Amino acid sequence: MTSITEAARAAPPARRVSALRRYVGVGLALTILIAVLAATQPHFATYANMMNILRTNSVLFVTAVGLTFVIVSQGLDLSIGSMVALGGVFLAVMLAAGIPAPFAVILTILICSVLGAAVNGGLIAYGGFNFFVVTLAMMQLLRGAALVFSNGLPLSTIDHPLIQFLGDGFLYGVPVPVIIAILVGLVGYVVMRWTRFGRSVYAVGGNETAARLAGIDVRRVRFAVYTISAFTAGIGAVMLTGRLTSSQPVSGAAGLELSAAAAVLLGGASFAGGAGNIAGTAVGVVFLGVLANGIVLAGVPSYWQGIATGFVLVAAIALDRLRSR
Amino acid sequence: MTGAAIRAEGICKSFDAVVALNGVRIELQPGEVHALIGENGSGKSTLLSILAGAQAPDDGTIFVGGDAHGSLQPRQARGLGIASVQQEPQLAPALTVGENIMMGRLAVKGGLVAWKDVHRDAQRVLDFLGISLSASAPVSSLSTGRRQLVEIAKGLVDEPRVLLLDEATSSLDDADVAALFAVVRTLRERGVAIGFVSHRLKEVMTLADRATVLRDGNLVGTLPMAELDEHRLVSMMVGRNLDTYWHKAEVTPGKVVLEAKGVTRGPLGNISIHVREGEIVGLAGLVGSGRSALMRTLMGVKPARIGEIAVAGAPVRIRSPREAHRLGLAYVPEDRKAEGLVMGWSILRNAALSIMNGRGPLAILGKAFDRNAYEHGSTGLRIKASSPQQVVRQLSGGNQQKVVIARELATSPRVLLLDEPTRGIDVGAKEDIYAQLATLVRQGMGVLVASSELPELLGICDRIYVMFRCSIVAELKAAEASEGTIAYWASGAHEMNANGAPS
Repeated sequence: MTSITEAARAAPPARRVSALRRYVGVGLALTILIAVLAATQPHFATYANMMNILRTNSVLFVTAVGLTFVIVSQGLDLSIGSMVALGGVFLAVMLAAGIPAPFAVILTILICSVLGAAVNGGLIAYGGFNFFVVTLAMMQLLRGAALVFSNGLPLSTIDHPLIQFLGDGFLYGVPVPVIIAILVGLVGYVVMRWTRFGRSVYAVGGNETAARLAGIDVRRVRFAVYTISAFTAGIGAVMLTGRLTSSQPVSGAAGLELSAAAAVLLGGASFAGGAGNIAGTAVGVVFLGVLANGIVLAGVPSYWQGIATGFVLVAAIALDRLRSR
Repeated sequence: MTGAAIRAEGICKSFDAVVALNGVRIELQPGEVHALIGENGSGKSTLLSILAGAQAPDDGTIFVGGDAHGSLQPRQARGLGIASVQQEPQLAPALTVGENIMMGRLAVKGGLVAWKDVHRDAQRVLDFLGISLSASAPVSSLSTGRRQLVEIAKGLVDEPRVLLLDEATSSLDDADVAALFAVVRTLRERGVAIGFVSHRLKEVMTLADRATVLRDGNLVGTLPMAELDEHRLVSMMVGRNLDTYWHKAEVTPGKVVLEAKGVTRGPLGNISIHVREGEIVGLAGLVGSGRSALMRTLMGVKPARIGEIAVAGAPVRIRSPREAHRLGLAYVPEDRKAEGLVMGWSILRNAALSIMNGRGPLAILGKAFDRNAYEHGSTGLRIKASSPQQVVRQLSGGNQQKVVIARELATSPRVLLLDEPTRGIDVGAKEDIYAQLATLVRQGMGVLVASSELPELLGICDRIYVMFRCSIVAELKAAEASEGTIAYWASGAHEMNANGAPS
């Protein structure tokens, strides 16, 4: 306990302090939640259940990593869920057409990235369109495209072991999607925290005019964050298809963008931009995952999950505001 | 000294552990203009707001018209005839001048507002003050300076005995300042006691009858203006003797390092200027004369469409601030909070904001990178902070300005462009910045400074370009120029002489 408060006090820049505060708060709530569940639910604190929580939330985390870049730059990407669904359809269609699985995987991620870059990135960064309008339109458009390409029907990928391995396999007893999520998270963390590009994302979110006058190519940064968001959605599409052993154009990844946004905000980011980081996003995702898991284990109808998530999100931000007064 | 309009004695005020005022005494006589002078953080604005009833003192007594008060409420202060005008106009832009002036006291006839009467009454106030404005003009059509005059008219509707002005001129150009001063003089003749806070010593010298000087919350003294000169005032404010305030460097200018020929963009017409190595060049002109627009065009924020720009003799195209930085140009914008700093970042990170753009996107920036940028850029600037890790939001205006300058200097520029580099900062910080500019030109840097403060331009520059309506109308040697000659060109008087009337 003392070490946490001391760390919060020692962290000097305010942006980091406020971000840290919130995810320390959420981290604390997470610790209590885990302690309570471990004490009351005999099935909670088992290796199998822990891995299950991480496995089922790995797609959410991978997409939330991309979304963290967007939100820190003072934007939002609502098209993530639809992008994952469409990516799944692309993947299944390519596999059915006989394209070898490794190529199909790479092509899926590539197509998603190019789509996100061209439309979201192009219109928002270079066209000057509002991010909300563009990504809302893309959310509708991509979901529609997924339905058109698939006639609304799921397409099985069960005959492709690589896809199953990526989405649902195990390596030395650790779920492969968890390994992918950790890798994506680590790369995202390093890029945001230590590189010039990562710093530019914070600068653009913190003060766009100052960033531009100081010589940052603001449009290129905005273009890049939406490209990254689509790229991680592409990875998520492959993982989700593997886990479901099929593409699911109708229900696949529905509402994923909002869950991801909730996780990013729980992790200390703000729609005002300039704040947040990948470690916080990880805490946010795990929190949502444990909460959902606990609700199921406690025998509460899973319909309560949304109510709990909403309450926690508002509580976290209210707490943050109270403390920063 | 019996007839003071307002008198305060033994005023103490602390904010948490910081003592803002420590047993200060001040009195304003009817018919006097009384300046409150001190560096940022000296407590002058706090004292003014206590007199206006906006803040309550921890200790002390305020005497108004013979009655003693421990503190005043804003409404009570108004009732006692104390009006105050803030730094930023607090007007409703969608309404007319008259509606704003009469707000809260609109004449009503038969349950409806009598707009005719409202505007007539408002016009009477404006005419009385000698403000040439129409009461029916919408406020949104007015310049900031004109709005400030409306704000003052609003404070004067109730014919106060005391008028308090807090940095009322900080956003005004010289013409608006002159109009404001005329109003203040009218009021003085009518027996109003006027207290004002200003960073511009020049103003203080021309307007005030007496001055009260504060330093670190303590009273240094109250003196008649006749016994003071600018030098003495500055010494009292900072508590030491300033031998060479402007720090003018005697440097023989070298080669031309930045040249613009016939640059045209939007309203900017056919601008030709040049800056040499080791030279400080000034850009004078009224607000809106195109000084800031010219700097933005040179920096590629709004790139030039027509004309040529050369850096160190080589013709270049500058299409973005990024390209400008790469060519060795650096720029300190006018509004440090909105355009200069990432307010939530530490000093170190802000210091690295410009220089980091020379690196590749995936280059790793560690603490050493930031520290090098900071140390390289801030040498000689004397930034005062608890540590370089401190968040810039917590710094004073002067130190924030120094951080922006340090950030640009970290890129080792050939030319430094500064837009209003000392606006709203205290004398000590100004002096540090002047000293730094002198050091830079000795090292061969070229400097272009846009400023509304003519004494500043005359004090630090070698040459001064004067702008009027987005054109350069004069180029003056600073040694031969005076405020009068600059004002002549900046106000467009030359056109009046040539054509009989301004075009």
